[in-house]
Amino acid sequence: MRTFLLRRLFTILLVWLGVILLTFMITNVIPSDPVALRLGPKASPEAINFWRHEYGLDQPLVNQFINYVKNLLKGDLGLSIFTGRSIKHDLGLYLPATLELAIAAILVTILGGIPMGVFAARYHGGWFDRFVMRFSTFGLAVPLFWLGLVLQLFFYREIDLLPLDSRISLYLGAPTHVTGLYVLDSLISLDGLRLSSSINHLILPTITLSMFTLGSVARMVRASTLENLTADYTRMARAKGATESRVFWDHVVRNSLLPTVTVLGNTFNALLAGIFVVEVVFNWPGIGWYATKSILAADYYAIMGVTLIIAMISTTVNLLVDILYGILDPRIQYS
Amino acid sequence: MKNTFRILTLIVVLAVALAACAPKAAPAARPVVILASDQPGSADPAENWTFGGSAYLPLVYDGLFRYAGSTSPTLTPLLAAEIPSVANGGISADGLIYTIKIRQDATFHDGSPVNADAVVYSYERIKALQLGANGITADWAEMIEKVDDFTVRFTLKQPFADFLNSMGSVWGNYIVNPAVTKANEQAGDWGHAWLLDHDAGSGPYIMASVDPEQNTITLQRHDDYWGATDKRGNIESAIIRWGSEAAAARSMLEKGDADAWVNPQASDYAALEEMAGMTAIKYPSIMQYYLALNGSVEPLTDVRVRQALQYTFNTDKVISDIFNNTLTKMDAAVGPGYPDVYAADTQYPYDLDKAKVLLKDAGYENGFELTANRMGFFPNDSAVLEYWQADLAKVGITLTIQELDGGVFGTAWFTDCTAASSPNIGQVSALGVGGDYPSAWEVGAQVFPTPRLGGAKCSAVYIDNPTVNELFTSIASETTAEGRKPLFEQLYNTLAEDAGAIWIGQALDLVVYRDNLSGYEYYFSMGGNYLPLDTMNLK
Repeated sequence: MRTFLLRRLFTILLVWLGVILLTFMITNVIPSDPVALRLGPKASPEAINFWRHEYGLDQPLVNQFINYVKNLLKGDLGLSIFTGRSIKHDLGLYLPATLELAIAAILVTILGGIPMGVFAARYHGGWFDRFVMRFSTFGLAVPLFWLGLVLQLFFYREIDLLPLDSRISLYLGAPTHVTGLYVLDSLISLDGLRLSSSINHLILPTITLSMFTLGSVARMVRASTLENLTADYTRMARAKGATESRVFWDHVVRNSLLPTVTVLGNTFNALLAGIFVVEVVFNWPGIGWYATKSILAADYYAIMGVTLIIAMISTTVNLLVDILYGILDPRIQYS
Repeated sequence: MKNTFRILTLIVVLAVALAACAPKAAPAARPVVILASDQPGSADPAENWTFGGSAYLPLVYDGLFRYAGSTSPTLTPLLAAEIPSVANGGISADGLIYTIKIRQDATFHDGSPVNADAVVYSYERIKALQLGANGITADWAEMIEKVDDFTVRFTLKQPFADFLNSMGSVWGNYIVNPAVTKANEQAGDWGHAWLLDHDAGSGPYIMASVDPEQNTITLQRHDDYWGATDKRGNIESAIIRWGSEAAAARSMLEKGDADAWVNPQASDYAALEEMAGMTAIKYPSIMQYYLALNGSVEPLTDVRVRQALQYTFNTDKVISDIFNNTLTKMDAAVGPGYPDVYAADTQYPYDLDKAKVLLKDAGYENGFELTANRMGFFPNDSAVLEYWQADLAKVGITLTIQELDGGVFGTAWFTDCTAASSPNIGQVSALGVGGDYPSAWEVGAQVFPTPRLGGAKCSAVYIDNPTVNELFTSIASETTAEGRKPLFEQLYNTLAEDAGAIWIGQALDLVVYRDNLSGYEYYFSMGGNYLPLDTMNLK
């Protein structure tokens, strides 16, 4: 286990280094000068040179990269040319919004997708199974931006049930900052008004973001459950006289959930990819939204910062999934 | 595990219960919500140079002068006591020294006086920071000094006839409170970091909060505003919000969750215009749209080819069919909403036969291949280029439309004035250009070849015509209106003959607001993002 972990950690470090190198190369290959763009058409050559020097952009590319990595090791992601603030500060500002949305989507995926898959398998061939299959096909096929716009149109414009976008009502503003997760912060400060508003604002983006993963998990659980229903150990349990309910819940479902853990790792990656679209559609100020603005402003260091953070989250989640899989299934041997 | 599940369940139940019991969000005095276009830019007045900033900076800060008027902008004193002139001794005969008197009753938000020290500090701060707004006015001054408590003197590096006009720009001309700014300096940054989310102004509103998470800025009325008049309205607070998707913005306005929407798309504007309870207005904007022809690359080096291209562009149809008549046709290189604009003698009506003759003369009877950049610098640029593509095909020219990163183009345009950057600029570029202030010289200098006055300004058309260079230089130093008129006329005629850019039209600023707002006035120099909240009322 220890060897496995060390090897995985080493691989993860290599992935991070690769991500840094790749994004650095890509962002620098574009003949676009972020300083010129920030200062605008009236900037003098002296001003442009001054700020290029301040940002270290006047140094050779290799030196820029080495300096960037050195600063990274000190936890310094550099300055955003677009916002003028440190990227660490910006990510601290925008990351909680993404985490809140991602956590909500994961919860919906787990709490919705697993029961859907299990019951679809339990009543295989029935109306609920057919519904789940169609629903999951829809979830896997529907473009997120389209779904988001349709939900906005219906729930906000047509029936006026849910807010259009943002994290909280414009009139209220953010709750007292504790974690940056508005629902949790409102709860901690027992602020019912903001809690209500932040939950309401969370619903549509969560549904949109989780639609793909919900379908994916429901299908996976259903297939796994159906497979286990005809497995040898299930027949053995029935032969030993266990009730059908006991066989299903204690043997089949428990074993069917194991592969789902693996799917959840990939699911989280799918969510991270989806946030770029969902955050823009719902004006949700997370790192996807921030990354989009940074790309449009050719803000090199911000783009690299976001990419690195996403890579770190993704690889860490996958590592945790691998470890969790081993804990849940002692037969797994790490080598 | 079971305990964890129970705790989680309890939290969810508690959250839902709390949320269900909570009353709907309804603030006591509702702020006005304005959906602005563009991006907010920087809240530090020494940095901002984007139109997004005009939504709030003129409400929070005052400058020495401000332009008034919706169609014929006039420079008026704001913090200055009068408009300096040669006659009143405010401008030296050689046009190098400007002496400006400051009114004595103006105060900052903290009650301290706006005086000569504040003016000198503000301009020195802009020069020292060297951020985006520096090149507009401050960089022209060699020296800024205090004459007495309420008089300042600007000594210019060279005569610049537009100097006073540039001081009316909504960018780089705001006076900040030196005491507040100095108190919040960090590592010699002249208070820059602090001013990104605080204000040090003297305007009718205080910047209550800057919320990058919500992409909003909240303004709170300053009750002790020094410039309050009988026309002062009743708007206590306003939330200005950027970045809403068009469909979302329209829904918010229709449902009353927003009170005004600046620069909607033409189709949304047309729909909202018909809707009861909405007021929709349009004025010639400070923006104009061009197709810039890069005269440094073949075959556009040949003026006959450029002129032929002019004849292939059906301006009237583009304005009516694509822009739904939300563009004003231009008869000179600068839009008719600007001062000092005179129709050029040479015009290029849509005429494919003339285009064919010119192409034949130039040796391109069988046409050629042309590439145009689409960068999203103005709405519908794809449609405009596709429309043109069809007409060009009729004269044998194959137009390829390519997406180009605006940053790549901007870098070449803003920084590198040599032909080396022309490959990045390409052959044709769809440009949207707005003046920093209502000056035909200033707009023209952004698109057409100019000597490097006022910074590293480059031409987007790369046609090296010494006559044009000389005319721009002469206009820059000519201070009298009588002297400028013939120079401008000659400039427009020369630019038209050069055919360096196809003039698509001058944009209109579109503003739609709900009928619960009244007292709106359009300010040409500030663009549509600016709503004069100080003199508006909320029912």
